[in-house]
Amino acid sequence: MFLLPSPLKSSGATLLALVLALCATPATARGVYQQPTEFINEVFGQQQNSAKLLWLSQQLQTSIKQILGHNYPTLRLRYWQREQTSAWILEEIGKEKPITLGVLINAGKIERLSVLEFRESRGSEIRYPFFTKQFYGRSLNQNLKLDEKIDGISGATLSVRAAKKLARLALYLHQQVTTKS
Amino acid sequence: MNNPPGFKIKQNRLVTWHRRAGLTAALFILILAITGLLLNHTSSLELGKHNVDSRLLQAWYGIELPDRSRHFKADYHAISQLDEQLFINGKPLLKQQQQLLGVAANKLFVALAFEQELLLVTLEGELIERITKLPGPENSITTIGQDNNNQLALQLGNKIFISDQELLNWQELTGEQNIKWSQPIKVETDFENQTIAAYQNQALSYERLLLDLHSGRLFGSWGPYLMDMAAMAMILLALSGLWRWCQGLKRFNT
Repeated sequence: MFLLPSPLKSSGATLLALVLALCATPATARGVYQQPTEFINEVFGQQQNSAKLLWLSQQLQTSIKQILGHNYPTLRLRYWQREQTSAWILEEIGKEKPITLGVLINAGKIERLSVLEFRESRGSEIRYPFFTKQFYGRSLNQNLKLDEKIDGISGATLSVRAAKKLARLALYLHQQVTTKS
Repeated sequence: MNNPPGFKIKQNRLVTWHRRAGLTAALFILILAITGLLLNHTSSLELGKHNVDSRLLQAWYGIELPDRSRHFKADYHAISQLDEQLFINGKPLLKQQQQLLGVAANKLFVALAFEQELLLVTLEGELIERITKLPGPENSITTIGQDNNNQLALQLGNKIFISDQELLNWQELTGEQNIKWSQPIKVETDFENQTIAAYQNQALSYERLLLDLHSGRLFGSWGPYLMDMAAMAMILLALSGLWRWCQGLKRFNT
């Protein structure tokens, strides 16, 4: 049997563990973390109002294009609203597949942001609170950008970008439905 | 300046090989440069969204006929699914892995039912909404239909639900039901062929064709090596050209 000095053995074991951990990461990246209904129940409680519809007019799509870089892929969106609070289930493609986010806005500021479903093979770190909590309290400035910088995650650039876009979109849509009502 | 013996012969040989390499590689270099230029602007040219309508190229790629096809009719609109591709009146709509179970339409939209979701599209084929929150405890649609008032109805397991106009709320139907459930139809051969042609056109985009032309894969398994050789010829041409230019410069200075 090939013998290694013990310091090398332990570093070899650490390296093997690290390689295995890295190999295991992509397999656990994809997943449904929360159903949209569960998210809405959680943020509004069981006595939520029923969903409302927002039709994305040409005018709205123009601003959405400014935020996402393209039109939203559907012509209407469901949202839930109680006074100055609104909840949105939105999707945006990270690299190749859509990431589903649930966003709760209260009085123009993000109160909650959760990754509900992640379909890409990399970048699911955006679901962790160390990332999502950065959005809490953030609002939209006049240029339709977040009022404070959000730190990225290396190796998850596109997912981070998608999450930031959706946060801005939810804030923008909230403005539209609250000013309308 | 006196050149060493045999220098002129070597020079002439280099020029001859420089020309030969240039001529041989010219066609491939042109292909590499033109396809490279186009691929650099894939998004702005929307190359991925436009498809190649050539039977010859489709046959070269081995694009086959669809394995399964289903057609439905609702309010004078024909909705088809060929493998994963959906069509509305023969025009490509979007892709859906789940099997199309039925369709229902009114003046505003067409609803396409799948086991786990309901797709709402405009009559022009624009996606209105993807509804995944289905009514009732059973979460799989069995079939879709419409009542006498054109209200949309869904059957999930043994329960039947009827929707409001905007498909926001669902009500369970009990007692007597008068619903016309959607059934697959047999279409005319001309329409079937037209849809199959549209299906085959969907399979090959200009982006795919240009990528394969650029990499050489379009020419079969030896294609990439052919393009490698063209790339190496380009390197040699640059080096031999540079060398000749340096020699000319040296002679000019002396």
